[in-house]
Amino acid sequence: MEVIQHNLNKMNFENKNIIVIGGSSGIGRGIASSYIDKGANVYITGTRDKIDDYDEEMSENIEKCIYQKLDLSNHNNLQKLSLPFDDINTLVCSQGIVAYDQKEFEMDTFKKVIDLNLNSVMASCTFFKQNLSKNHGSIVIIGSGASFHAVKGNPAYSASKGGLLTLIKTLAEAWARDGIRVNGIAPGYVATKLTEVTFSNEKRYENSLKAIPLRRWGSPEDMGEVCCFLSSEGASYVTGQMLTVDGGMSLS
Amino acid sequence: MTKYRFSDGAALVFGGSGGLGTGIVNLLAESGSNVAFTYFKNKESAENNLTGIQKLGREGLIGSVDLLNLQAVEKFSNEAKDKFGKIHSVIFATGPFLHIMPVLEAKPEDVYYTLDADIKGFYHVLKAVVPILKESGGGSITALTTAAIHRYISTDGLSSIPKSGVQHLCTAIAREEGHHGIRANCVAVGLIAVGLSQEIDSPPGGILDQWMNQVPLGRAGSPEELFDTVVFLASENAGYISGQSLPVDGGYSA
Repeated sequence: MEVIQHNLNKMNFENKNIIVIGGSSGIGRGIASSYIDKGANVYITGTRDKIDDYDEEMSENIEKCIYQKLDLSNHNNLQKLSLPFDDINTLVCSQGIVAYDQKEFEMDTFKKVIDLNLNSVMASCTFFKQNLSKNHGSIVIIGSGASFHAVKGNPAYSASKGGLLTLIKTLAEAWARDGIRVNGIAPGYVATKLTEVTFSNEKRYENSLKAIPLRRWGSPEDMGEVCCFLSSEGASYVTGQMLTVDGGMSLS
Repeated sequence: MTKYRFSDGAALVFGGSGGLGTGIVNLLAESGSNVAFTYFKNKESAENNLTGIQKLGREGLIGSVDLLNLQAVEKFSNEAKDKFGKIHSVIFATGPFLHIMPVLEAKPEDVYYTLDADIKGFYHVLKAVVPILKESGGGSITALTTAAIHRYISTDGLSSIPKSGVQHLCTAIAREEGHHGIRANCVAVGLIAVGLSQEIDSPPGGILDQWMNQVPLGRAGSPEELFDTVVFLASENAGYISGQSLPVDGGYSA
Protein backbone atom coordinates (compact mmCIF):
# COMPACT_ATOMS: atom_id res chain seq x y z
CA MET A 1 0.00 0.00 0.00
CA GLU A 2 1.28 3.44 -0.89
CA VAL A 3 1.53 5.64 2.15
CA ILE A 4 2.35 9.34 2.10
CA GLN A 5 4.52 10.68 4.90
CA HIS A 6 4.00 14.12 6.33
CA ASN A 7 5.91 16.47 8.53
CA LEU A 8 4.62 18.32 11.57
CA ASN A 9 3.39 21.88 11.51
CA LYS A 10 0.21 21.17 9.63
CA MET A 11 -1.76 24.23 10.72
CA ASN A 12 1.04 26.53 9.65
CA PHE A 13 0.24 28.32 6.38
CA GLU A 14 3.43 30.31 5.87
CA ASN A 15 4.17 30.69 2.16
CA LYS A 16 0.70 29.38 1.30
CA ASN A 17 -1.46 31.42 -1.05
CA ILE A 18 -5.16 31.54 -0.26
CA ILE A 19 -8.03 33.11 -2.18
CA VAL A 20 -11.25 33.82 -0.33
CA ILE A 21 -14.08 34.80 -2.66
CA GLY A 22 -16.51 36.83 -0.61
CA GLY A 23 -13.75 37.36 1.93
CA SER A 24 -14.72 41.02 2.23
CA SER A 25 -17.42 40.42 4.81
CA GLY A 26 -19.16 37.99 7.14
CA ILE A 27 -17.95 34.42 7.36
CA GLY A 28 -15.48 34.89 4.51
CA ARG A 29 -13.87 37.77 6.36
CA GLY A 30 -13.46 35.61 9.49
CA ILE A 31 -11.92 32.87 7.39
CA ALA A 32 -9.49 35.28 5.75
CA SER A 33 -8.49 36.52 9.18
CA SER A 34 -7.81 32.99 10.45
CA TYR A 35 -5.49 32.29 7.50
CA ILE A 36 -3.59 35.51 8.21
CA ASP A 37 -3.21 34.39 11.84
CA LYS A 38 -1.60 31.20 10.57
CA GLY A 39 0.87 32.99 8.35
CA ALA A 40 -0.76 32.72 4.90
CA ASN A 41 -0.80 35.20 2.04
CA VAL A 42 -4.48 35.97 1.61
CA TYR A 43 -6.31 37.46 -1.32
CA ILE A 44 -9.94 38.46 -0.79
CA THR A 45 -12.68 39.61 -3.12
CA GLY A 46 -15.95 41.45 -2.68
CA THR A 47 -18.44 43.30 -4.81
CA ARG A 48 -17.58 46.82 -3.66
CA ASP A 49 -14.80 49.00 -5.04
CA LYS A 50 -12.63 49.06 -1.93
CA ILE A 51 -12.40 47.04 1.29
CA ASP A 52 -13.04 50.29 3.19
CA ASP A 53 -16.48 50.42 1.59
CA TYR A 54 -17.64 47.64 3.94
CA ASP A 55 -19.09 48.84 7.20
CA GLU A 56 -17.48 46.01 9.19
CA GLU A 57 -14.73 46.91 11.61
CA MET A 58 -11.27 47.00 10.08
CA SER A 59 -8.77 44.67 11.71
CA GLU A 60 -5.02 44.33 11.47
CA ASN A 61 -5.53 40.95 9.82
CA ILE A 62 -7.89 42.23 7.14
CA GLU A 63 -5.46 45.07 6.38
CA LYS A 64 -2.89 42.40 5.54
CA CYS A 65 -5.18 40.85 2.91
CA ILE A 66 -5.02 41.94 -0.69
CA TYR A 67 -8.45 43.08 -1.82
CA GLN A 68 -9.87 43.07 -5.31
CA LYS A 69 -13.35 43.81 -6.53
CA LEU A 70 -15.10 40.80 -8.08
CA ASP A 71 -18.77 40.91 -8.97
CA LEU A 72 -19.83 37.36 -9.81
CA SER A 73 -23.27 38.34 -11.08
CA ASN A 74 -21.21 38.17 -14.28
CA HIS A 75 -18.94 35.08 -14.19
CA ASN A 76 -16.70 36.57 -16.90
CA ASN A 77 -15.40 38.99 -14.30
CA LEU A 78 -13.18 36.14 -13.07
CA GLN A 79 -11.04 36.70 -16.19
CA LYS A 80 -10.34 40.27 -15.08
CA LEU A 81 -8.72 39.30 -11.77
CA SER A 82 -5.05 40.12 -11.59
CA LEU A 83 -3.57 37.59 -9.22
CA PRO A 84 -0.60 38.60 -7.12
CA PHE A 85 0.48 34.95 -6.76
CA ASP A 86 1.92 32.54 -9.31
CA ASP A 87 0.08 29.68 -7.75
CA ILE A 88 -2.68 28.98 -5.29
CA ASN A 89 -2.89 26.48 -2.45
CA THR A 90 -6.50 26.95 -1.41
CA LEU A 91 -9.64 28.47 -2.88
CA VAL A 92 -12.42 29.34 -0.44
CA CYS A 93 -15.83 30.06 -1.98
CA SER A 94 -17.75 32.16 0.50
CA GLN A 95 -19.97 34.17 -1.80
CA GLY A 96 -23.68 34.14 -1.13
CA ILE A 97 -26.91 36.10 -1.20
CA VAL A 98 -30.39 35.58 0.17
CA ALA A 99 -33.73 37.28 -0.52
CA TYR A 100 -36.46 37.71 2.09
CA ASP A 101 -40.19 38.53 2.06
CA GLN A 102 -41.12 35.56 -0.18
CA LYS A 103 -39.14 37.09 -3.07
CA GLU A 104 -37.36 33.78 -3.69
CA PHE A 105 -40.69 32.35 -4.83
CA GLU A 106 -40.49 34.72 -7.83
CA MET A 107 -38.54 33.21 -10.73
CA ASP A 108 -36.33 36.23 -11.40
CA THR A 109 -35.09 36.29 -7.83
CA PHE A 110 -34.86 32.49 -7.68
CA LYS A 111 -32.57 32.46 -10.72
CA LYS A 112 -30.45 35.30 -9.42
CA VAL A 113 -29.83 33.56 -6.08
CA ILE A 114 -29.06 30.20 -7.71
CA ASP A 115 -26.74 31.89 -10.19
CA LEU A 116 -24.66 33.52 -7.47
CA ASN A 117 -24.78 30.88 -4.71
CA LEU A 118 -24.35 27.80 -6.90
CA ASN A 119 -23.35 28.63 -10.48
CA SER A 120 -20.71 31.20 -9.58
CA VAL A 121 -19.12 28.69 -7.19
CA MET A 122 -18.79 26.18 -10.02
CA ALA A 123 -17.41 28.95 -12.26
CA SER A 124 -14.84 29.90 -9.61
CA CYS A 125 -13.73 26.31 -8.98
CA THR A 126 -13.36 25.68 -12.70
CA PHE A 127 -11.48 28.93 -13.21
CA PHE A 128 -8.87 28.08 -10.55
CA LYS A 129 -8.73 24.32 -11.09
CA GLN A 130 -5.58 24.13 -13.19
CA ASN A 131 -3.72 26.43 -10.84
CA LEU A 132 -4.81 24.43 -7.77
CA SER A 133 -3.77 21.12 -9.32
CA LYS A 134 -0.15 22.32 -9.50
CA ASN A 135 0.14 22.25 -5.69
CA HIS A 136 -2.13 19.45 -4.52
CA GLY A 137 -4.41 22.32 -3.59
CA SER A 138 -7.78 22.25 -1.97
CA ILE A 139 -11.14 23.94 -2.19
CA VAL A 140 -13.44 24.79 0.71
CA ILE A 141 -17.01 25.78 -0.18
CA ILE A 142 -19.27 27.46 2.35
CA GLY A 143 -22.61 25.69 2.48
CA SER A 144 -25.27 26.06 5.13
CA GLY A 145 -27.68 24.17 7.33
CA ALA A 146 -29.81 24.70 4.22
CA SER A 147 -27.50 22.20 2.45
CA PHE A 148 -29.30 19.48 4.43
CA HIS A 149 -32.77 20.77 5.22
CA ALA A 150 -35.35 23.35 4.23
CA VAL A 151 -35.16 26.97 5.28
CA LYS A 152 -38.65 28.40 5.59
CA GLY A 153 -39.44 30.95 2.93
CA ASN A 154 -36.14 30.58 1.06
CA PRO A 155 -36.48 28.06 -1.78
CA ALA A 156 -33.62 29.51 -3.82
CA TYR A 157 -31.19 29.78 -0.94
CA SER A 158 -32.00 26.22 0.18
CA ALA A 159 -31.79 24.74 -3.32
CA SER A 160 -28.50 26.51 -4.01
CA LYS A 161 -26.92 25.34 -0.75
CA GLY A 162 -28.31 21.83 -1.27
CA GLY A 163 -26.74 21.91 -4.71
CA LEU A 164 -23.38 22.78 -3.20
CA LEU A 165 -23.49 19.58 -1.11
CA THR A 166 -23.48 17.32 -4.13
CA LEU A 167 -21.26 19.69 -6.10
CA ILE A 168 -18.61 19.17 -3.41
CA LYS A 169 -18.93 15.39 -3.60
CA THR A 170 -18.88 15.35 -7.39
CA LEU A 171 -15.89 17.67 -7.75
CA ALA A 172 -14.05 15.76 -4.99
CA GLU A 173 -14.43 12.55 -6.98
CA ALA A 174 -13.65 14.13 -10.35
CA TRP A 175 -10.63 16.16 -9.29
CA ALA A 176 -9.04 13.69 -6.86
CA ARG A 177 -6.89 12.49 -9.77
CA ASP A 178 -5.66 16.07 -10.19
CA GLY A 179 -4.63 16.08 -6.54
CA ILE A 180 -7.34 18.54 -5.52
CA ARG A 181 -9.40 17.96 -2.39
CA VAL A 182 -12.85 19.55 -2.20
CA ASN A 183 -14.69 20.02 1.09
CA GLY A 184 -17.25 22.32 2.61
CA ILE A 185 -18.49 23.84 5.82
CA ALA A 186 -22.14 24.10 6.74
CA PRO A 187 -22.25 26.92 9.31
CA GLY A 188 -25.06 27.32 11.79
CA TYR A 189 -25.93 30.76 13.12
CA VAL A 190 -23.10 33.26 12.69
CA ALA A 191 -23.73 36.95 13.18
CA THR A 192 -23.34 38.44 9.69
CA LYS A 193 -25.43 40.72 7.53
CA LEU A 194 -27.23 37.63 6.17
CA THR A 195 -28.51 36.70 9.65
CA GLU A 196 -29.12 40.24 10.90
CA VAL A 197 -32.88 39.64 10.67
CA THR A 198 -32.51 37.07 13.48
CA PHE A 199 -29.83 38.38 15.79
CA SER A 200 -30.96 42.02 15.78
CA ASN A 201 -34.35 40.97 17.19
CA GLU A 202 -33.95 40.15 20.89
CA LYS A 203 -36.82 37.69 21.07
CA ARG A 204 -35.76 35.84 17.94
CA TYR A 205 -32.19 35.76 19.19
CA GLU A 206 -33.20 34.29 22.59
CA ASN A 207 -35.33 31.68 20.84
CA SER A 208 -32.48 30.74 18.53
CA LEU A 209 -30.22 30.08 21.52
CA LYS A 210 -32.66 27.54 22.94
CA ALA A 211 -32.30 25.48 19.78
CA ILE A 212 -28.49 25.38 19.97
CA PRO A 213 -27.15 22.71 22.36
CA LEU A 214 -23.94 24.71 22.97
CA ARG A 215 -26.13 27.78 23.76
CA ARG A 216 -24.17 30.28 21.72
CA TRP A 217 -23.95 31.56 18.15
CA GLY A 218 -20.88 30.71 16.14
CA SER A 219 -18.27 33.31 15.33
CA PRO A 220 -16.61 33.92 11.96
CA GLU A 221 -13.41 32.71 13.69
CA ASP A 222 -15.08 29.38 14.56
CA MET A 223 -15.62 28.91 10.84
CA GLY A 224 -12.11 30.14 10.06
CA GLU A 225 -10.49 27.48 12.24
CA VAL A 226 -12.48 24.71 10.57
CA CYS A 227 -11.76 26.08 7.10
CA CYS A 228 -8.03 26.22 7.86
CA PHE A 229 -8.10 22.64 9.11
CA LEU A 230 -9.94 21.27 6.09
CA SER A 231 -7.46 22.93 3.73
CA SER A 232 -4.43 21.92 5.81
CA GLU A 233 -2.15 18.93 5.39
CA GLY A 234 -3.76 17.53 8.52
CA ALA A 235 -6.86 16.85 6.43
CA SER A 236 -4.98 15.38 3.47
CA TYR A 237 -7.18 12.25 3.46
CA VAL A 238 -10.44 14.18 3.89
CA THR A 239 -12.31 14.97 0.69
CA GLY A 240 -15.92 15.23 -0.47
CA GLN A 241 -17.21 16.23 2.96
CA MET A 242 -19.52 19.02 4.05
CA LEU A 243 -18.82 19.47 7.76
CA THR A 244 -21.60 21.02 9.81
CA VAL A 245 -20.35 23.63 12.29
CA ASP A 246 -23.45 24.68 14.16
CA GLY A 247 -23.03 23.98 17.88
CA GLY A 248 -25.31 20.96 17.47
CA MET A 249 -28.31 23.00 16.29
CA SER A 250 -29.34 20.65 13.48
CA LEU A 251 -29.37 17.52 15.66
CA SER A 252 -33.04 17.87 16.50
CA MET B 1 4.56 22.69 16.82
CA THR B 2 1.10 21.80 15.69
CA LYS B 3 -1.47 24.41 16.54
CA TYR B 4 -4.34 22.53 18.10
CA ARG B 5 -5.37 24.35 21.27
CA PHE B 6 -6.24 22.70 24.57
CA SER B 7 -6.98 24.14 27.97
CA ASP B 8 -5.21 23.00 31.15
CA GLY B 9 -5.67 19.48 32.41
CA ALA B 10 -5.40 16.32 30.39
CA ALA B 11 -6.88 14.30 27.59
CA LEU B 12 -8.25 10.86 28.42
CA VAL B 13 -7.82 8.26 25.68
CA PHE B 14 -9.56 4.88 25.85
CA GLY B 15 -7.47 2.51 23.78
CA GLY B 16 -4.10 4.25 23.77
CA SER B 17 -1.85 1.30 23.04
CA GLY B 18 -3.07 0.17 19.61
CA GLY B 19 -1.83 1.26 16.20
CA LEU B 20 -4.14 4.24 16.05
CA GLY B 21 -4.42 5.05 19.75
CA THR B 22 -0.66 5.35 20.13
CA GLY B 23 -0.41 8.01 17.43
CA ILE B 24 -3.35 9.95 18.86
CA VAL B 25 -1.77 9.98 22.33
CA ASN B 26 1.45 11.24 20.79
CA LEU B 27 -0.13 14.04 18.78
CA LEU B 28 -2.05 15.17 21.87
CA ALA B 29 1.24 15.35 23.75
CA GLU B 30 2.88 17.21 20.86
CA SER B 31 -0.02 19.67 21.01
CA GLY B 32 0.87 20.43 24.61
CA SER B 33 -1.56 18.23 26.47
CA ASN B 34 -1.00 15.74 29.28
CA VAL B 35 -2.58 12.38 28.47
CA ALA B 36 -4.12 9.61 30.54
CA PHE B 37 -4.77 6.47 28.51
CA THR B 38 -5.95 2.93 28.87
CA TYR B 39 -4.83 -0.37 27.41
CA PHE B 40 -6.45 -3.75 27.58
CA LYS B 41 -3.67 -6.32 27.39
CA ASN B 42 -0.78 -4.66 25.60
CA LYS B 43 1.09 -3.32 28.63
CA GLU B 44 4.46 -3.08 26.91
CA SER B 45 3.12 -0.90 24.11
CA ALA B 46 1.31 1.32 26.64
CA GLU B 47 4.49 1.76 28.70
CA ASN B 48 6.53 2.64 25.61
CA ASN B 49 3.91 5.18 24.66
CA LEU B 50 4.00 6.67 28.16
CA THR B 51 7.79 7.04 27.95
CA GLY B 52 7.30 8.70 24.56
CA ILE B 53 5.04 11.43 25.83
CA GLN B 54 7.24 11.99 28.90
CA LYS B 55 10.13 12.65 26.51
CA LEU B 56 7.96 15.39 24.98
CA GLY B 57 7.78 16.98 28.43
CA ARG B 58 4.20 15.93 29.18
CA GLU B 59 2.81 13.88 32.00
CA GLY B 60 0.89 10.69 31.51
CA LEU B 61 -1.09 8.05 33.35
CA ILE B 62 -1.78 4.53 32.15
CA GLY B 63 -4.11 1.82 33.33
CA SER B 64 -5.39 -1.51 32.11
CA VAL B 65 -9.14 -1.10 31.87
CA ASP B 66 -11.81 -3.52 30.68
CA LEU B 67 -14.45 -1.24 29.18
CA LEU B 68 -17.14 -3.81 29.86
CA ASN B 69 -16.60 -3.15 33.56
CA LEU B 70 -18.28 0.17 34.39
CA GLN B 71 -16.65 0.44 37.83
CA ALA B 72 -13.20 0.00 36.29
CA VAL B 73 -13.90 2.71 33.69
CA GLU B 74 -15.15 5.08 36.41
CA LYS B 75 -12.18 4.33 38.63
CA PHE B 76 -9.60 5.13 35.94
CA SER B 77 -11.47 8.26 34.79
CA ASN B 78 -11.54 9.58 38.35
CA GLU B 79 -7.86 8.77 38.87
CA ALA B 80 -7.08 10.80 35.75
CA LYS B 81 -9.18 13.72 36.97
CA ASP B 82 -7.54 13.61 40.41
CA LYS B 83 -4.04 13.50 38.96
CA PHE B 84 -4.47 16.28 36.38
CA GLY B 85 -7.20 18.36 38.03
CA LYS B 86 -9.31 18.48 34.88
CA ILE B 87 -10.12 16.44 31.78
CA HIS B 88 -10.62 18.59 28.67
CA SER B 89 -11.00 15.87 26.04
CA VAL B 90 -12.04 12.23 25.94
CA ILE B 91 -11.18 10.00 22.98
CA PHE B 92 -12.63 6.55 22.31
CA ALA B 93 -10.17 4.67 20.12
CA THR B 94 -10.75 1.03 20.95
CA GLY B 95 -11.96 -1.50 18.43
CA PRO B 96 -12.66 -5.18 18.78
CA PHE B 97 -11.11 -7.70 16.41
CA LEU B 98 -12.94 -7.54 13.11
CA HIS B 99 -14.75 -10.46 11.58
CA ILE B 100 -15.15 -9.93 7.86
CA MET B 101 -18.19 -11.82 6.66
CA PRO B 102 -21.85 -11.38 5.80
CA VAL B 103 -23.52 -10.49 9.04
CA LEU B 104 -25.85 -13.50 9.12
CA GLU B 105 -22.93 -15.89 8.61
CA ALA B 106 -21.13 -14.66 11.73
CA LYS B 107 -21.35 -16.69 14.93
CA PRO B 108 -23.94 -15.20 17.29
CA GLU B 109 -21.32 -14.93 20.06
CA ASP B 110 -19.05 -12.88 17.77
CA VAL B 111 -21.92 -10.53 16.96
CA TYR B 112 -22.79 -10.16 20.65
CA TYR B 113 -19.15 -9.53 21.50
CA THR B 114 -18.64 -6.71 18.97
CA LEU B 115 -21.95 -5.11 19.96
CA ASP B 116 -20.89 -5.23 23.61
CA ALA B 117 -17.33 -4.07 23.07
CA ASP B 118 -18.41 -1.02 21.08
CA ILE B 119 -21.80 0.01 22.37
CA LYS B 120 -21.61 -1.11 25.98
CA GLY B 121 -17.95 -0.07 26.15
CA PHE B 122 -18.63 3.42 24.85
CA TYR B 123 -21.75 3.74 26.99
CA HIS B 124 -19.60 2.99 30.05
CA VAL B 125 -17.11 5.62 28.95
CA LEU B 126 -19.90 8.20 28.66
CA LYS B 127 -21.37 7.25 32.05
CA ALA B 128 -17.96 7.74 33.62
CA VAL B 129 -16.70 10.88 31.87
CA VAL B 130 -19.75 13.08 31.27
CA PRO B 131 -20.12 13.90 35.02
CA ILE B 132 -16.41 14.73 35.13
CA LEU B 133 -16.62 17.01 32.08
CA LYS B 134 -19.76 18.69 33.44
CA GLU B 135 -18.04 19.46 36.70
CA SER B 136 -15.34 21.50 34.97
CA GLY B 137 -17.66 23.34 32.59
CA GLY B 138 -17.49 21.08 29.56
CA GLY B 139 -15.07 19.44 27.18
CA SER B 140 -15.00 17.26 24.11
CA ILE B 141 -15.72 13.62 23.37
CA THR B 142 -14.40 12.14 20.13
CA ALA B 143 -15.08 8.57 19.03
CA LEU B 144 -13.44 6.60 16.24
CA THR B 145 -15.98 4.82 14.08
CA THR B 146 -15.91 3.62 10.48
CA ALA B 147 -16.62 5.20 7.09
CA ALA B 148 -18.79 2.14 6.44
CA ILE B 149 -21.47 3.89 8.52
CA HIS B 150 -21.81 6.48 5.76
CA ARG B 151 -21.53 4.00 2.89
CA TYR B 152 -21.86 0.31 3.61
CA ILE B 153 -18.98 -2.01 2.81
CA SER B 154 -20.16 -5.51 2.04
CA THR B 155 -19.06 -8.04 4.72
CA ASP B 156 -18.04 -5.26 7.12
CA GLY B 157 -21.29 -5.24 9.09
CA LEU B 158 -19.74 -6.47 12.31
CA SER B 159 -17.77 -3.24 12.36
CA SER B 160 -20.29 -0.72 11.04
CA ILE B 161 -23.37 -1.95 12.90
CA PRO B 162 -21.99 -1.52 16.43
CA LYS B 163 -20.16 1.69 15.42
CA SER B 164 -23.49 3.13 14.26
CA GLY B 165 -24.58 2.73 17.87
CA VAL B 166 -21.47 4.58 18.98
CA GLN B 167 -22.26 7.40 16.57
CA HIS B 168 -25.79 7.75 17.85
CA LEU B 169 -24.59 7.77 21.44
CA CYS B 170 -22.47 10.76 20.39
CA THR B 171 -25.52 12.42 18.85
CA ALA B 172 -27.45 11.90 22.09
CA ILE B 173 -24.67 13.41 24.22
CA ALA B 174 -24.20 16.35 21.83
CA ARG B 175 -27.92 17.11 21.95
CA GLU B 176 -28.64 16.36 25.59
CA GLU B 177 -25.47 17.49 27.34
CA GLY B 178 -24.42 20.30 24.99
CA HIS B 179 -25.71 22.99 27.33
CA HIS B 180 -23.04 21.86 29.81
CA GLY B 181 -20.43 22.80 27.22
CA ILE B 182 -19.90 19.21 26.15
CA ARG B 183 -19.24 18.49 22.49
CA ALA B 184 -19.35 14.97 21.01
CA ASN B 185 -18.17 13.99 17.53
CA CYS B 186 -17.05 10.98 15.52
CA VAL B 187 -14.22 10.37 13.10
CA ALA B 188 -15.38 7.82 10.54
CA VAL B 189 -12.20 5.98 9.68
CA GLY B 190 -11.66 4.85 6.12
CA LEU B 191 -8.94 2.64 4.72
CA ILE B 192 -5.92 3.53 6.84
CA ALA B 193 -2.72 1.53 6.45
CA VAL B 194 -2.12 0.46 10.04
CA GLY B 195 -3.79 -0.97 13.11
CA LEU B 196 -7.16 -2.52 12.47
CA SER B 197 -6.87 -2.47 8.68
CA GLN B 198 -3.68 -4.50 8.93
CA GLU B 199 -5.46 -7.18 10.90
CA ILE B 200 -8.00 -7.73 8.18
CA ASP B 201 -7.15 -10.86 6.24
CA SER B 202 -8.02 -9.90 2.67
CA PRO B 203 -7.06 -11.94 -0.41
CA PRO B 204 -6.48 -10.22 -3.78
CA GLY B 205 -9.86 -9.03 -4.98
CA GLY B 206 -11.11 -9.19 -1.38
CA ILE B 207 -12.57 -6.49 0.80
CA LEU B 208 -9.47 -4.27 0.87
CA ASP B 209 -9.08 -4.26 -2.90
CA GLN B 210 -12.77 -3.60 -3.43
CA TRP B 211 -12.61 -0.80 -0.95
CA MET B 212 -9.50 0.75 -2.47
CA ASN B 213 -11.12 0.79 -5.89
CA GLN B 214 -13.80 3.09 -4.53
CA VAL B 215 -11.47 5.63 -2.93
CA PRO B 216 -11.32 8.74 -5.15
CA LEU B 217 -7.86 9.66 -3.83
CA GLY B 218 -6.74 6.23 -5.07
CA ARG B 219 -4.67 5.24 -2.07
CA ALA B 220 -4.97 4.18 1.53
CA GLY B 221 -4.49 6.87 4.13
CA SER B 222 -1.45 6.96 6.40
CA PRO B 223 -2.08 6.85 10.15
CA GLU B 224 -0.80 10.43 10.45
CA GLU B 225 -3.61 11.54 8.17
CA LEU B 226 -6.08 10.25 10.74
CA PHE B 227 -4.52 11.59 13.94
CA ASP B 228 -4.86 15.23 12.96
CA THR B 229 -8.59 15.00 12.39
CA VAL B 230 -9.10 13.28 15.74
CA VAL B 231 -7.01 15.79 17.65
CA PHE B 232 -8.50 18.74 15.73
CA LEU B 233 -12.07 17.69 16.59
CA ALA B 234 -11.06 17.20 20.23
CA SER B 235 -9.36 20.61 20.40
CA GLU B 236 -10.74 24.08 21.03
CA ASN B 237 -10.11 24.87 17.36
CA ALA B 238 -13.27 22.83 16.67
CA GLY B 239 -15.19 24.50 19.51
CA TYR B 240 -18.41 24.97 17.51
CA ILE B 241 -18.54 21.46 16.00
CA SER B 242 -20.82 19.07 17.86
CA GLY B 243 -22.82 15.98 16.96
CA GLN B 244 -20.94 15.45 13.71
CA SER B 245 -19.25 12.51 12.03
CA LEU B 246 -16.32 13.43 9.80
CA PRO B 247 -15.10 10.69 7.46
CA VAL B 248 -11.35 10.46 6.90
CA ASP B 249 -11.63 8.15 3.95
CA GLY B 250 -10.12 9.69 0.82
CA GLY B 251 -13.63 10.45 -0.44
CA TYR B 252 -14.95 6.85 -0.21
CA SER B 253 -18.23 7.79 1.45
CA ALA B 254 -18.80 10.93 -0.62
